Amino acid sequence: MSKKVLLIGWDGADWKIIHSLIDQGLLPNLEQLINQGVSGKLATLDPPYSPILWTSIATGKRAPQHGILGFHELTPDGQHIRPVLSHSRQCKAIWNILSQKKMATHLVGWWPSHPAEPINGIAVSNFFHRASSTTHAHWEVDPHAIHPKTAASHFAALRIHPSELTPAHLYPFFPLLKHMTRNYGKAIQKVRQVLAETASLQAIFTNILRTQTWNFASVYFDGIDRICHDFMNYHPPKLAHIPQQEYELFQEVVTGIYRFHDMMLGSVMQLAGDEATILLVSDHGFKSDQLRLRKVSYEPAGIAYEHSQHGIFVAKGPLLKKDQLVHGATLLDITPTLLHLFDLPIGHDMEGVPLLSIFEAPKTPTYIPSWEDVANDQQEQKSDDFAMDSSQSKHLLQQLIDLGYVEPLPENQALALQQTKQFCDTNLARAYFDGGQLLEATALFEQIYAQSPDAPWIAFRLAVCYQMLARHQDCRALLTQLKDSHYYQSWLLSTVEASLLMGEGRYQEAISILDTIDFPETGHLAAIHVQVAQCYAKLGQREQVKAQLEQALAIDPDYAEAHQALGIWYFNQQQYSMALDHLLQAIGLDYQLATCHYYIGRSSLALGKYEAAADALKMTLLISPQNNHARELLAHTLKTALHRPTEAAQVLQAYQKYLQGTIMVVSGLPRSGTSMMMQMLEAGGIPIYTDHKRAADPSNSQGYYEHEAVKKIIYNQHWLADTKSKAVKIVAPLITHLPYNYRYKVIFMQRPLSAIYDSQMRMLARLGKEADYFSLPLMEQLEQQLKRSQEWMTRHPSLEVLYVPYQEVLQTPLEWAIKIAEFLQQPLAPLAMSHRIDPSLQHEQSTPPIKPFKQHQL
Amino acid sequence: MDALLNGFITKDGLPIAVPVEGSLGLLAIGDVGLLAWRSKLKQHMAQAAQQLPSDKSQPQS
Repeated sequence: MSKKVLLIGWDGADWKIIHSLIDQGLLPNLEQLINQGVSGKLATLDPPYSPILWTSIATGKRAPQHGILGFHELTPDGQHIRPVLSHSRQCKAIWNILSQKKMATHLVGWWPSHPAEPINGIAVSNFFHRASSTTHAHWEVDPHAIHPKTAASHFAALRIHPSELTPAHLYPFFPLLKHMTRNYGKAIQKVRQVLAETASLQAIFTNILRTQTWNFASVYFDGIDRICHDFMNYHPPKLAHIPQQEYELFQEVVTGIYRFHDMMLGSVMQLAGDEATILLVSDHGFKSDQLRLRKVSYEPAGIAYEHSQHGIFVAKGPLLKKDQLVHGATLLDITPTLLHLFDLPIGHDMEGVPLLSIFEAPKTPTYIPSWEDVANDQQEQKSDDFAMDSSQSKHLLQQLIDLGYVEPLPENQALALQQTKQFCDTNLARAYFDGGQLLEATALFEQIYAQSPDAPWIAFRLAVCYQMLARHQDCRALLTQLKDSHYYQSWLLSTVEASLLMGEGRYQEAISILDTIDFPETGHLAAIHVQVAQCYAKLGQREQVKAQLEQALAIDPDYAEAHQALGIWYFNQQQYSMALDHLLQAIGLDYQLATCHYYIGRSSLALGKYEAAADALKMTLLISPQNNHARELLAHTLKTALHRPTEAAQVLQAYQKYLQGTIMVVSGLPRSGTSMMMQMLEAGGIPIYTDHKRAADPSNSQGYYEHEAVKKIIYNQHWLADTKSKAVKIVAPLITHLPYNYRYKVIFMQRPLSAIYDSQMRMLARLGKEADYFSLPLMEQLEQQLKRSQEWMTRHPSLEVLYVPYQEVLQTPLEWAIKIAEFLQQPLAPLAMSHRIDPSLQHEQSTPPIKPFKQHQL
Repeated sequence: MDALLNGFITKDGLPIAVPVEGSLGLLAIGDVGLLAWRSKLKQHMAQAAQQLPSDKSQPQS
């Protein structure tokens, strides 16, 4: 495959703005790149901070794995603060891997890349081009900012000092420059600085391309992001709160920076030639139009709220498709794709996947466990001589503060250290949360919150964790505190509280809260209607669901989530054609909605359109590869409906990769002995997942061992992360809602249906409720439930089941305790388990069932 | 440096102009554009410096 690849990074570049400028004919080079290659959205990660995101792009890993946690960090001794460095990265980046494969590799301006690493080519760090003096004459070169050091003076001459720029450079940004008074000096200086730094990197990068041998060269520009943070509110269309005069002066700045980047792209495309593959990416998008924020949240690096969820991905090259869209790409996929372009194996420890759909003739990717295990002579040469002294560190930190990335640090050193640590820890917790490691995120947020109870943004995130883990009381306590702090707008807290009430099954109360929200911005109205619709769905008020979703669409006909929800509504009504209408509209508006593709797949299956279903399920997996349910459904469709068993087997190969651990489940019909089994497991030494809410009673003298969250499994499955290494009781009718991203060991209690039915009736009678001992429909219902659950378990690819006959356990408890321990592969105490059997149960068992209606032996 | 710039043409197929005051287009070209502009600027400054003594030699009115 191609051996010449360019990776160009445009921080903050956004499709919405790009499409608008292309329509005006203002970005001809990018338009050409798009038309000659593939393009699509690139999903970002959280937290949305540039050093973290660009390191994920360059490593294929998330922050907990790559170790970059912000803009600045504590030194290893914890006594000082420094900007994040290339040394802070805990794994190899693409340039390290390619260098060790002897590829000619060059790196310009990547964040973070200081000190410059000793790669097999030229490395220019992210501090090389930042002017540290008032004039060019006194602008020194930091020897650690470039590799090899001998190249320092050559490339230093290609740097442009802001003072060099003339009005001719600034007019495209400020057409009314001549009329601008000194009051606008700061705004002009910002553009001047961005322009000088961007042009410096372009001069260095083009010089490398012209004068050096290269297999891989990458450059990172932060100009678009910086300009958008300062000037997006002045970009057309005019916002009501922006003064007319300022709008007229600044309305061309954002357009100007995009046009400049397009011109630079044109030059690089010309230098690279047609034989090179060019990848252009951004780490996130930027909110524009009506989505622009009037007020930025006051929390560390709160300006990142101006970012939007999708960056850009454009790629052109001899092996790539032409004028095609690519879907489902994420930042994590860039490094695996680059490795694949170079015919190199991808590390199994990289979360991303190669974007095979961009290739005309995709090859099967190869894998190794990890590039970290591959010996690297060059890596050993890593600049051990580098130690940033405190004055240099302060100077570089000040640059980051001046650029607006870092808040000014407090004078008090201890406080500054504490704030920095808190910022990094918070980012790590957010990254855990974003990566689905909910327990790790919760534990870390709890730790940070204990140290900083006055940081409402921590409390808010912790409250969301609690809500997802079904820790409703903890969530409510935090929400109450947050309301008192008046930090967040009340409508935002109300939406979280409504989610909490929904989690607790209090849907009517959730609706009441949502109905009374006083909205500050109409942009949120449609979303609230969708949330109200979700409540009505839980209440079984179908027509209200539809009415709310239609109201949402009346407010915003382009609200993809509302189309998706209405599509799912029609799906649930078994109106599959209508479902497809709305679901297809939704993906037309936002192709990244994985749930939408999933329901398109299921609707197509229901309509007997098996090829379309397979395509939609494949797309689901492309966007959301961890969706093992879609994987199972796709494999089943390929095997049984489309008669492609080999392909089905290939699809299932990835199944194991996305399993997050093993969960021990005790299941069976209610009154089949599930509580008894939970008692045995507890006695054997297995922790139990229970909230002890349902107290013991005469029907279950030892307690029920249940958890409220289990009852809501249909709507919230995040709490399952909290059940690892524990036993959880999930009755048979709910077991089919277990998600496909875990491995399960299920102990399924068996008892004759007539005995179960009889026991249920006895229980009702004890509760003073009417018990119908002769109901044939109820008996059949039980039988159906059992059949459904067992069929589902048989089909589940990562579920093992041990059927345990209730009566036999009562008769030979020790024998069964040993069998259970073997099945669970846990060091249990079988004797203690067997002693836990309540002898009175044997007595009850010996009592003949009251008026047995029909014998069902399982 | 001008020779290097020959490879670059405008959208209309015209050679790139190098104005003394510089241009965004030259910066976008990269090293070649930058050096061409600096060279032009240097040349201009040198010419201006040459003109300065002769200006001074003019009799003052």
